[in-house]
Amino acid sequence: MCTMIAEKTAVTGCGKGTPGWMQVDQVTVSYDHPSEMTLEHALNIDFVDSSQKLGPRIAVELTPESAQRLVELINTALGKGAVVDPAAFE
Amino acid sequence: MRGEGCGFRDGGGSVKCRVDFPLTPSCKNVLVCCLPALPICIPAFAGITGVWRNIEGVALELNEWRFVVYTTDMYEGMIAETVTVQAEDGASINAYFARPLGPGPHPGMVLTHHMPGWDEWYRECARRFAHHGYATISPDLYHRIGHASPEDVAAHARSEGGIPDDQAVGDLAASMRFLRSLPNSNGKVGAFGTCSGGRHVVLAASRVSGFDAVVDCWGGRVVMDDSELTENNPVAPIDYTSGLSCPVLGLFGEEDGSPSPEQVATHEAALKQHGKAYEFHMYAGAGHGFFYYDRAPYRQEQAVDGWQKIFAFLPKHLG
Repeated sequence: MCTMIAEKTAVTGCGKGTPGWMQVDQVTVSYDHPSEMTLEHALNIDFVDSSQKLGPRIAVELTPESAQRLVELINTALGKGAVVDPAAFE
Repeated sequence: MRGEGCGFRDGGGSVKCRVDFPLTPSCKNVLVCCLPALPICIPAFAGITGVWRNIEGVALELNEWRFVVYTTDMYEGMIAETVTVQAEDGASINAYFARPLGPGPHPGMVLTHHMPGWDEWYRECARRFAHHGYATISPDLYHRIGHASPEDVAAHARSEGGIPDDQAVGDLAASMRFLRSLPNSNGKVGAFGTCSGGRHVVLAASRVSGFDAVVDCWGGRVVMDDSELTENNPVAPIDYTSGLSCPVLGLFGEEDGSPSPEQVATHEAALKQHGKAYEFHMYAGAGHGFFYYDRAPYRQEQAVDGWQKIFAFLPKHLG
């Protein structure tokens, strides 16, 4: 199915893909058909520079289980980071 | 040009017959029409409109069609290229247009691509329908997003929650009218779509008159909860069922999550309630996208049967 499940938010950061490092200011997280993975649905993450429509993107397609572990890992790392660098989280 | 063919009775015995409709050099398929107790086969075939007669001149009633054989002495050819279609909102959108060579008349098919985009599979699919005698157009429903690789364009569409239903319906209607305007059209146009394209063709045929047959392959979200309605998809296609203007062939997989077998049953109940003509097939051992030979969900046996059902269904309604 095409779920059309897509969540989008602004971010500040950069990513590296085929063209090299690029600024990213938007990320879309969708649970829908992936392009490459041989799954009906995957957790798809696209980092883009929204000023460049259809410009380069940093794309990741993950199994749902992998994505859940990624979420946990991000939260774990952020939790530890908040301990050593509390000002960055204010 | 008129043609003659030979037929046969069950158990042997040759029967000559004559076809009373135009035959063209592009005709290539041998069709078998199953008559009451008298199957005949007729080589070279342009359409099923018109009167078929046996050698004594007796009109034959045709009640079922099946595709059969290509033989190596038959000529065939097609043109396939990118063209533009003027959409209802004034946009000029790219479309892949594949059609048989020859004067026709040809029935038309509008191919409606899936969520993963206007990709190679759909261009191949367009050529497949053209090979079977249909002037076939596949509009790029993501045209307004811009142009890049199909997967990058599709990723952008995905990030936007798909495209507006009104826009898709308008583009499909424009494509249908494009086909009907062709000088070698037989006046009949159908639509085929998979995945979101299956949903779109059901929606278009329910909201716009002019389609003569629809093939919905595992179109999800025809049945939608209120929580699924969005600005792009404000009304569930099933709610337009009363307006459906043509027969529907539906091909689905038992292992699909959307449409689930329960949702297909709900759709079928709505078609029955409104007295619509339909033919649904639910395949065991298949899920979503079982025609896609380049993807893991491909199921060879079910896909072959599904294509046979498509090319048995369409001639009954498109000629």
